[in-house]
Amino acid sequence: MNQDVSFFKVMIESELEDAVGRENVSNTTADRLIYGYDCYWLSNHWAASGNLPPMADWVVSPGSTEEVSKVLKIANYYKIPVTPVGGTGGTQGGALPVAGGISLNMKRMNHIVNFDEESMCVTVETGMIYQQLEWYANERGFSLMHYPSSITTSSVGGFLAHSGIGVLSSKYGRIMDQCLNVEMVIPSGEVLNTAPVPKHSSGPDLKGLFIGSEGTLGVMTKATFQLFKIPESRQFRGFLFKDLTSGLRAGRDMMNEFKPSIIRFYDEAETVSIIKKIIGVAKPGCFMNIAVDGSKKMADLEMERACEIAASYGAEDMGEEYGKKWWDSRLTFFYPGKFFHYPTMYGTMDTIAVYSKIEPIYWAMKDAIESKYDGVRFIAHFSHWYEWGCMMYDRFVMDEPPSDPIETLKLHNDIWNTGVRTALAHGGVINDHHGVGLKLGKLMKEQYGPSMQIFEGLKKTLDPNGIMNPAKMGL
Amino acid sequence: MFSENAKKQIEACRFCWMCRHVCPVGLATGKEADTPRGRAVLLNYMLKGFPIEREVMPDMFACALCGNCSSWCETGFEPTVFIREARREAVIDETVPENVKPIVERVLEKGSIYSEEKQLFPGFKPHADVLLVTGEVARIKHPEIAKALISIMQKAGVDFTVLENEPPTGSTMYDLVGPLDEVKSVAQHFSETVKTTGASTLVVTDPADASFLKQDCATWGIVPAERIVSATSFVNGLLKEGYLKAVQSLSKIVTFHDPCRLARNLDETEDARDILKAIGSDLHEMYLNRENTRCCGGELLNSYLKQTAGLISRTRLDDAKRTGAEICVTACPGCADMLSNEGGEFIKDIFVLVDECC
Repeated sequence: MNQDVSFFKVMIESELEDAVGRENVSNTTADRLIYGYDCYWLSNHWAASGNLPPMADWVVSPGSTEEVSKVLKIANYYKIPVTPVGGTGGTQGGALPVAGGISLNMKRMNHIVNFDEESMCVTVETGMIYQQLEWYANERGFSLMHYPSSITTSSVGGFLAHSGIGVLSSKYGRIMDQCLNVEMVIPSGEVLNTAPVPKHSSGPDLKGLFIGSEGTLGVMTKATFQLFKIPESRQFRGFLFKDLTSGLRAGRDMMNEFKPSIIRFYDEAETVSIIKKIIGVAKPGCFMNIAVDGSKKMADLEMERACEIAASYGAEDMGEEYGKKWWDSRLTFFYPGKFFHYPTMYGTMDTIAVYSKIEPIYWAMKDAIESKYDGVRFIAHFSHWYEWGCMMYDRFVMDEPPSDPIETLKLHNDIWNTGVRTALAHGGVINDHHGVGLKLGKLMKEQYGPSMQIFEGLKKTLDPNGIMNPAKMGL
Repeated sequence: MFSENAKKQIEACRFCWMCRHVCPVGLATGKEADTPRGRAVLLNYMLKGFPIEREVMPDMFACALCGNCSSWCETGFEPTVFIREARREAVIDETVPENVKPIVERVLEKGSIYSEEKQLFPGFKPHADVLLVTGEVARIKHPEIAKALISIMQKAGVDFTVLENEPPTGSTMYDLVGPLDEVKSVAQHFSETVKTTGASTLVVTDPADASFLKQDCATWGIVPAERIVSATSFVNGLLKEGYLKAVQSLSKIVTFHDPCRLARNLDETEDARDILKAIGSDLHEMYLNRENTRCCGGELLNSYLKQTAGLISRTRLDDAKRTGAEICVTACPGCADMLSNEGGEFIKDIFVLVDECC
């Protein structure tokens, strides 16, 4: 007699198998373990400390929108939590199955649905790993121009779920801008579709409600993205500004005249090592790396103006070499041996604000972190720009966290609370492009106040039983 | 017991997701456990004492060992190291999955994964400067490739010989069961047999055999000959030096599928292209070519995971057909076998074409 097997659990499992096929439902420890951690530092820390991660009861892998609908209906009926998961590249713990239930692995849904060259758009299932989609487009002379560092790791759905961004966003937009429409399945099993195109006057933009909802409202199953022609020319240039203020103003002026595809502007701490690589010696200041894309004619003109604008703020022209090398090796940093190696504790507390506020936020966060926590350093660069403001990609790094794993967890959360609350207090937001997830859910109400009721109302309507990705986003 | 090197790879790969987009098995099945990171995570937990060995072994064997992960890694880590060692552990601990067991039993008994009889090549002289190593896959599945190479060597006037009954090199066994001592014994036996010919140069048909003999055997101190070259580089040399001449042009639009061991392990991508040019081909490249080549499905994987291997093959075939080529050429008997399962006459071996044109 097997006393470990629950009758009801097996009955539910049999229904799930009926929905997606027996081979696509797993209850093995091995399969469930793998979804117990992602790129969220605390989940890695927990696993490295030899602890059991949060585990679902089943890993279910649907192969179509119809199968997703069937699975959600079953889960909704039995009130089983469902955590959609793609490439497990999230940094906020958003895809950790903290409430058990089902880890809904979307990666069997990895097909191109339609490639519409005439309209310059592509429709794809959300389980496709994004680099595969990008290569598909490249082969045909196009690009999606969405290049986050996790492009080789994450799925289309993952990027949509947390409303992500890529390094070329200053010119080509965030994923929210690049996405034309989304199909989403909600717990009732109904398949919802946003308007076929985003720019219209047919009511509020539904796309904006689904993108960034991190699996708390339903499961995105298909999406359409615009395609871009691969530009004839991409030119790089580096500038050394004397301080943050002049560089931020120069970037603002560039964005208001033309749109560089890349502006990456580093604080003094990050600049030190960069400048040494370029000129062989340390030199004070703040380094900016820009790129312009387009026809050769346009790129030449834009670069000419970029140089003029930078010079008007007293910047030194550092040439093009760094930018080219950085572009070719921009992902190398994320490989083992280059990236922060466990047990180094780190976190990216990215935020965004208008230009008049972003530099004060920088100084306030730097002071808040470095003055309160021994052995923690704060570094930052500004990498996604708009006409009205820019985002700050700031990190805290602690090379030697406490040896006790629970003390480390608590310290990690305390640093996050301090950093993010400082950003909020000075006009920032709780996150720019990594999402909210488990990590920042508790701070959503602090950002939105009474506006939080909009999300809560939507959640209640679409997910009345609260099965979708519980404990995430503060919902 | 995992080696320190394998443990180092596991520790690196468990928290890294950077190569998942090139794993053919992960892409085909959509399973997280079928990715390099997934496998590293599972072995990490196993090493920490979680009793999951039997559960994780199917995922360790569900790898084509195409090496795309290791090749892609910008900091030099190699998931294939821990995958092979995990397979060794499975054999030692008797946790080999049921579908793989018959293949493992056969290879431990005979040194080969195949039950079929292989083509014998009698009548060659016992000694020569060059030994043509045809390999198991060519002898058993595609003897026309071995025959084409023999014909090419004869036309070029090479002083060569062929073993009538060539023992396995051990490369497939190494892929299947990892660095077991039995693998070294098989490799040693191959080496001793080869040495009886007195050959100073081995021309190796199958890139998997070539990379195994040149690289893995060398680390074990097993050196069957002074010079070990792939058949593609040897034949390209014959063409360049004028020992072989094309007398008719292929005159076809072709695409070339780079075998993974040739492109990634041996770093040889241009010899085959030079050969295709020399025989008058109009080459249209697949988007993912050279070291970015995609797996053909894998002869070994196909022996126990046919469905998965088939999905992988079909993806590569689609890549080839999109080029508009009339034929897809490859330079590996294993790739020829896998791709022709679905591709039929669309797939051609490079040496068969060279023999036709020269």
